[in-house]
Amino acid sequence: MPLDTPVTLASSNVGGWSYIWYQIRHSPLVILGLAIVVAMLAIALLAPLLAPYDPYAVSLDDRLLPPSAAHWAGTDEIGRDLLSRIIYGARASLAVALAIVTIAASLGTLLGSFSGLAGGRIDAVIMRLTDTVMALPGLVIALAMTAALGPSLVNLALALGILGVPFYTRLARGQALGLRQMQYVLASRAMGASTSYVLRRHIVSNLLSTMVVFASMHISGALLAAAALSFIGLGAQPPTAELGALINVGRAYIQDEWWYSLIPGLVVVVSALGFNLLGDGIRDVLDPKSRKK
Amino acid sequence: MLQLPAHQLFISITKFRAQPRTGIARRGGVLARVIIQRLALLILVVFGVSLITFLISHTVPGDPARLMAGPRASAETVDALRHELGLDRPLYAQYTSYVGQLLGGDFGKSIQTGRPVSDDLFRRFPATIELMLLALLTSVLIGVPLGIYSAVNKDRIGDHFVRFFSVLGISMPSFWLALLLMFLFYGLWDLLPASGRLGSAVDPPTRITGFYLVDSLLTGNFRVFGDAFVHLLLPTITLSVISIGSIVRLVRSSMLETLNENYILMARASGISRNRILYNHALRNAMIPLVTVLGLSLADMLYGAVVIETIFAWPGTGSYVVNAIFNLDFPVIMAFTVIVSMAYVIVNLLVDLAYMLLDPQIRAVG
Repeated sequence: MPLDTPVTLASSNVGGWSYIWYQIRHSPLVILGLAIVVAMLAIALLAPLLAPYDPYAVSLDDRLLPPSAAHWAGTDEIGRDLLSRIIYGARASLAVALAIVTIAASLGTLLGSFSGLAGGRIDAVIMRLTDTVMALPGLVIALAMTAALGPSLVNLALALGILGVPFYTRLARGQALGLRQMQYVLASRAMGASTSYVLRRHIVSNLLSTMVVFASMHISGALLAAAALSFIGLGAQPPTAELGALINVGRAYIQDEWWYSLIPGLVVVVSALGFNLLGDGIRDVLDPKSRKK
Repeated sequence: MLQLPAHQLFISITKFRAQPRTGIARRGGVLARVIIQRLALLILVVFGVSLITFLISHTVPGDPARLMAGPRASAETVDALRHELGLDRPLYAQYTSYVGQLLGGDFGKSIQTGRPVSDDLFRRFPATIELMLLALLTSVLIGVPLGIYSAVNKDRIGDHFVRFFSVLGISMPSFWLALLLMFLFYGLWDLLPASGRLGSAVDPPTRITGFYLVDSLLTGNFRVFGDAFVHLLLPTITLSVISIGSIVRLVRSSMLETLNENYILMARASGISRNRILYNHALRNAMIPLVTVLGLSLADMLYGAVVIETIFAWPGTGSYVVNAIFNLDFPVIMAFTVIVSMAYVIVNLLVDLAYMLLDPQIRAVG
C-alpha cells in the first residue's frame, strides 16, 4: 500500500467507526485492551475521588508499612500512602503520555499536510529536516534535552513530543500528496480558495481519522519512554508522584519492601499493555490487507 | 526499551524508505545514489546534533566549574577553573573550536575524570557491545522461531499465547523488568550476581578484544569465562525480552503476508508437501524483513542499555553517560550523542543496502 494513496476512514467503503466497533467486538484481546484503557482513563480523571489519602500527606510514624487494610499498597519512606501516590502517579504519567502524543500529532499533521500541499522547494526543505530529525537516536537526544532544559515533567513532554513530530509529518505529507490531486481540492483552488482554507477544509479534515489511529498506537511507547526518563531522574521531581519516579525511589527498598517499586511498575505494564492491544486492534481493522479476506 | 516510542509502529515506513521512488536505473547506480544521499545525511546529522547538544548543554543553568571544584571552593578557584576549561569564552568561539577538534577526532576531556573522552569511551565500549550482541543473538534465536510458529498456527491457541506474550514484552518497561529480575534472582533466591561484569575476587582477562567472554576463552581462563557469563545473564535477559516482543510481531506478520502470496497457493496446488513449502518457499522470502528487525533491535537496545547499565552497575558507555548527565559533564554528553547518532545513521544505511541486495523486487523496481 503506497503511502501516496490516501486511505482514510472517510474514503474506505466500509462504514467508518461503526464498522470498527463491529470488528473490535469480536476480538477478546482488543476488548481487554479497551477495558484497560477506559479503566486507566477513569482512574486518571477521578484520582482525587479515588485516592484514599492525600498523596503528599507526610506521617513519619507510618514509615514503610507493608500493605494492609488501611494502606492497600503500604506506605513510603516518609509515611505517605502508596496507593494514593500510585493513583496520582498514573494520572501524571498518562497526562505526560497524552501530552507527548498531542504535541507530536498536532505539529506533525500540520507540518506534513502543509509540506505536501505546498510542494516544491518548501516541501523539499521540510522533508530534509524531517529526515535529519528521524535519523537522530531519539531517546539519547531526549536525554540530552531534558538534562539541559532542567528535569521536569513539562520539559520531558516537550522533548519527547518534538522528537515524535517527524513520524507524523511523513505520514501526513504522504497523504496530503494524494489528497491535493483530488478533484474537489483542484476545484476549490480553481475557485480561489486560499491555501489555509484548503489546508483546513480539505486536507487536515481528511487526515484526521488516520492520524488519530496512528496516535493511538503511539501512546504506549510515549508512556514507557516518559516513565524511563523519569526513572533515571530526568522527569518528575520530588515530591511529585509519577510512576517512573516512584519505581526509582522504591528501588532503594527493594530487598525488604519489594511492593514499593513492583506495584507502580505493574501499573505501567498494564496501562502500556492496554494501549498496545487497543492500538493493534484498531490497526488490524483498518489494514486493507487483513480486511480483504 | 528506552525505545523511541514509535519504533515498532513505523516499521512500515522504514520499509518504504528502502524503496527508491523513481526511474529505472541499474543496481549499481541506485546503490551509489543511496550511499551518497546517506553520507550527505550523515554530515547533516553530525553537524545538527553537535549544534543542538552544544547549544542546550551550554545554556544550562548549572555551572560545571562549580560542580567540579566542590561547594567549598572559593570564587577565585572556580573562576580559574572556568577559564582553564574555556567556559568563559563566548558561545560561538567555544562551538567553533569544538567543531575544529571534532573534525580532528578529538572529543575533548571529561570534566569529571580529566581523561580524554575518547579514551574513556574506548575503554567502556566493549562492555556495552558485548552485552548488546549477546542480547541481540538471544532475541533473534528465540524471537524468529516463535514468530514463525505463531504465523503457521495462526488463530490457534499457541498463536494467541505467543501474541499475548509478545505484546506483554513490548509493554514492559525495561528498567522495571531489570528490578524484578534482580529482586528474584539476586535478592530472593541468590542465584545470580546483579552488578558489574565480574565478581570482586576475579581479575579481568588480558585485554585482547575487550569482550570478557572472548578474551577469557582466548587466554584459556575458564573460571573468568564462567564468572563473566553469569554476570551477563540478568542484563542480557532484560535487554532481550524487550526486543523479542517486536521481533516476534514482525516475523509473524511478514510470514503471514508471504503465506498469502499466490506462489504459495500455486505450490500447494501442485501438491508440494507442507513442510517443503514452509521451509523452501515461504521462509526465505519472509526472512527479508529480518534485516530491518536487526537494525531496529540494535537501536532499541542502545536506548535500553543506557538505563539497564545504570541498574546493573554495568561499566559500559550507558552508565557512563547517565553519570555524565547528572554531573553536567558536557564533553562526555556531546561525544556520546554525536557518536551514537553517527552509528545510528550508519546502521540505517547498512539496513537499507542489505534490503536492496536481498530483495530482488526492490532491486528490479529501483
